[in-house]
Amino acid sequence: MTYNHSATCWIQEVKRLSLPQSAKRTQRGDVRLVIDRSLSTDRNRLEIAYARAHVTVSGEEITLPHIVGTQSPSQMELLAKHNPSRPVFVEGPFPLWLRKTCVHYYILRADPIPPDEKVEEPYDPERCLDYPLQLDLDLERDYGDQESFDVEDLDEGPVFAMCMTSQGDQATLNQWISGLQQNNPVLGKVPTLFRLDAGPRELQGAAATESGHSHGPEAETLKEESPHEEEPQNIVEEEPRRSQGMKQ
Amino acid sequence: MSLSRITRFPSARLLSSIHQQLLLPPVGPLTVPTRAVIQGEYRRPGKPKENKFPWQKINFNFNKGLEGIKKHFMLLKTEFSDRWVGPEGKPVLEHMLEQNRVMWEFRGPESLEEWTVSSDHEIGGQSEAHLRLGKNNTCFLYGNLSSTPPRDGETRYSGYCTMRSKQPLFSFDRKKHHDWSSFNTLHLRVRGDGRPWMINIATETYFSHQRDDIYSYFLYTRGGPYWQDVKIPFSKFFLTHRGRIQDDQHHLWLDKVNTVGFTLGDKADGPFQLEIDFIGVCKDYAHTEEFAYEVYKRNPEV
Repeated sequence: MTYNHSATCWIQEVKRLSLPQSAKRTQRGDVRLVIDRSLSTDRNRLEIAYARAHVTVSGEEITLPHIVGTQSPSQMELLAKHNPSRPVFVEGPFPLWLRKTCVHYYILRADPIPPDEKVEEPYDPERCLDYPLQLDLDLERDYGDQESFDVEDLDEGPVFAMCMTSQGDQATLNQWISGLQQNNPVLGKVPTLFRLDAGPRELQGAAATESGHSHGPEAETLKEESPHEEEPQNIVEEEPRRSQGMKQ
Repeated sequence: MSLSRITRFPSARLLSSIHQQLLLPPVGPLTVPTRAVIQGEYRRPGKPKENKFPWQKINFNFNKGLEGIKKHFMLLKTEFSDRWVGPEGKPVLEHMLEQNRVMWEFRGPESLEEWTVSSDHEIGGQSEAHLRLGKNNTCFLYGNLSSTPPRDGETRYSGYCTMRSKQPLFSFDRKKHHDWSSFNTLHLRVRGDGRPWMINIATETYFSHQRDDIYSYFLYTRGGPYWQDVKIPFSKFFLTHRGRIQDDQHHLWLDKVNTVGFTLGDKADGPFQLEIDFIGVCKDYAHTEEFAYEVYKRNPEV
């Protein structure tokens, strides 16, 4: 079997599809790449960086953990529409691989709205003046015109913001939430629950709300509107899950 | 006369070589590669060569018992009754004109039975892979890759894991094939962690040399909390045999597809996870390409 080792056409194909190989990788560059890849559904996004440089205290150099967070305008809208009586969750760390390195990110999300509380907002007709976004036609579709799969839609709840930090403990994430609060005042009224657990992670669906609700009445204490909080009034919730022993 | 003489000689040589192989005592992993005249089953590196006669390999096992017999007869009955409805149990118009078909949808624990998960662990490596039903009824494949090769003297590289669908079967364990001739795109809804996977489709082949022919293509996952819809036209799949890209390429024949698999073999050690919502096939009318790669010969014979 003759073997042709010059597989240049395959290399081109692989290069076209895979991640760019950057010579020097910075934390900031990594985060940008992560955000581009996972949140690139919205082109206009707001990046909030609470980067803390080295700080010398009493002659020693202490590096405070830096946080880089991001939130796109549609996510801000979703958060503004969020019902303040329902808690939001800070979940993480989720693994994300860039070539050969694994970075971890945390997200702020809420549970999906139960069907009885869902409000269908009509499309704003001025959003698009070329054609109507909603048509009330009663037409039958033939077999050949069915363009969507016959699968039930997964309802997973909105994701409000995402962040990456060098140190993923509750204090740092609190910093992030307080930073987010500057642009989203509703975060001051909403109870925030932390679900920090390493291991194979997946977003929780509606089924995980039972444990969330049991802590609900305790977490109803209102968060103060001050940007920097001294005592976190949030409850750490660590679900007993199979962890792979990876602590960040 | 001369024709029969020619045909007789190779067969004598064949028999003597087989005889020699069978009569040799089983030695460990052979360091001297023997040129196999007949290419048999793929021998896992590290596994000693089996010296059994072909009739010793069949096992007559009745441990499945009554449930097995009942299951096969139920399958047989559905096959007969499906013929009255139409081809493959669907009315003719629907079978001819359908544009989307969901092949695998993970809505219950029995859907996980259709998949085989294997990893490096079988040849002695340290990777592990597990499959479970994720939240919201999705399939969650997770585990840990480790590229330290097993110490058996012949393996040099290691670190992979795969998830492969089982061959669909008729009643009484007869092979059934997926017929995707009216579709031209594979549609997946996945949520990975940024790792590059490879999708392998194995079709039914005629010659025994073609047994490990697999058509592959890449799946670059994005990571992040959002679902990713991946649409891969079947014209993009290229032919490989035992992991090596072949020079003589042709497009994937869709009428007898056996299995679909996902494999991860990037040389990055660490945990991985892949969540699959559903796998479907669809017909994209805008896609008219037959094969994405050039078919001309690189080294044409003069």
